[in-house]
Amino acid sequence: MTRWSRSEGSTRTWLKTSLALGTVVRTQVVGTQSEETVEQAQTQAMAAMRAVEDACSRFDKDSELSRLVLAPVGSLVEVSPILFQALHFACEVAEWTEGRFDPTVAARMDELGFTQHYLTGESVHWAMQAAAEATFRDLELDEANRAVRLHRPLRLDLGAVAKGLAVDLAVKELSAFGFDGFVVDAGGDVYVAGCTENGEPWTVGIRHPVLHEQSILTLKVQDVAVCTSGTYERPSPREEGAHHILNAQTKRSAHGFLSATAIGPFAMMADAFSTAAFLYPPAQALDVLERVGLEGITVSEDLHVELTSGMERYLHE
Amino acid sequence: MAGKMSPKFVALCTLAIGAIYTTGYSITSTSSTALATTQQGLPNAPTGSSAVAAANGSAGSGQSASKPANSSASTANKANTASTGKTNKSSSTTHPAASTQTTTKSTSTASTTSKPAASTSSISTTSKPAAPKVNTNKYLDGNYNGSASNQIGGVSLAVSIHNGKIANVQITACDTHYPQSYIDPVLPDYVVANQTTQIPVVSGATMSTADFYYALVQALSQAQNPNYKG
Repeated sequence: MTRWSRSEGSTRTWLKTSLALGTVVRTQVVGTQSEETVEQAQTQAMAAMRAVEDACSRFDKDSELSRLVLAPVGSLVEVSPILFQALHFACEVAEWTEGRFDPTVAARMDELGFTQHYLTGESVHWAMQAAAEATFRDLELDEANRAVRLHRPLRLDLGAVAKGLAVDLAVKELSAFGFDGFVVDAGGDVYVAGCTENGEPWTVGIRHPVLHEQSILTLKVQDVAVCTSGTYERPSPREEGAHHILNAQTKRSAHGFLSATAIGPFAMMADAFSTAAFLYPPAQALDVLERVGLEGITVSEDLHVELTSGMERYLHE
Repeated sequence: MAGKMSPKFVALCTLAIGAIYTTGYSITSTSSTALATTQQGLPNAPTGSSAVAAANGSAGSGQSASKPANSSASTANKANTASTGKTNKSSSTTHPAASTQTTTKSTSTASTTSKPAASTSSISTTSKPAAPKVNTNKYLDGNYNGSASNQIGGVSLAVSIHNGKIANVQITACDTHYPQSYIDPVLPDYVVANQTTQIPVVSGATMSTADFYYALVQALSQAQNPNYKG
């Protein structure tokens, strides 16, 4: 942990970075609390995020998610609260988007070569064959028993939900400490709470989809999640022009935007819908975000920036 | 957006986070089980099963440890590292079980991270077995140095072992072509948090990572405890 700013009075800013969730995770805390308290808070936040990773990783054969899809079809498998809630939320989004967004799109992700574990670099190969026609409707969620039944062999990808959920749980952990402000940043899924050491709202840059070192837009925000999905993040190693955001109806990569940003009270929601927005015709994307209560920003392939009507208040200069 | 906006997903998120938070989640420190092989048996946990028991004990406000127990069991193959079940945020802001994962930059704080105030209510009910007298920790306490180099330069580091655990890893010199910030503090923190030499490769700093790895292995080889049975 690094105290990275000079101390003024007794309010300090603490920064900690770790590797988790396939990315570099950063927690930044502003407060007058002791070093031990800050460290405890950051450790708990990180532990929460690691718990989500252990439950939801598609690349780890021992993750709960992997064990679920390897369980015999038709059997009822009891799962952890994290995996159950992540699946439940993903299926609700799938239902709402009429199947455009679908957590069972993982089999096609494997075909496009998204198989590498981010830590070990090892490729994950599956002995089981997923049914080509499988959709989220083949997942039966038993809320009373916190259990899941698969009705077809399928593979699951919670990439658009799990990272956001991890951020939300970390936020919940940090909130209990009463800091003046904090930031949780898991590789593009960001939550900012309270204020900076100077008592101001946080500045969040929306990355320029082409000039990666620059921000295409700068926001001043407090107590919201800001999640950006971009087609530039993970191009397919196998198919030219393909990338990691797939339309489950067409099984093809989405086109029309370079990036979509969603802003709202929860990272899980902003994460899922910043991905889902890609899966609609470009003219509908911002409307989709507004209909579920999010604000948003899209950057088209010719770098044209469009905003939802409520974005004005977040814009910085 | 007024008028047609649906609050459905905000409500769903609230419910989901609340359900996870109140039911508790099982934490294993193996962020990747591919890395798990070298981190068997954290030295301070007397046995794997009692580590799980302690975690369950801290999880419930009363004796309702059944939910965490289930989730611990489902990850039993990993549970001998650091397992934490938890619920109930109301009474305290610190969770004793979570301190098994604490990362610290300085050895002096390592011993102070488990909060006695918070643990009185929960740990005392779990009747921890007394630790065995023979030191079977994987590493012997002390400070150890290691260094490694390759065509891009070298890395030197100092490792301190406290209570048999890797308490601190300090990069003491880094003259690689790439900035030290590529691997510091990410790699030292990772080693302390996961008690492992199986470190991830930092994207864009593969050679620096290799130097760090060999320096770490060299330092820890001097710290090996001959009585360690793992």
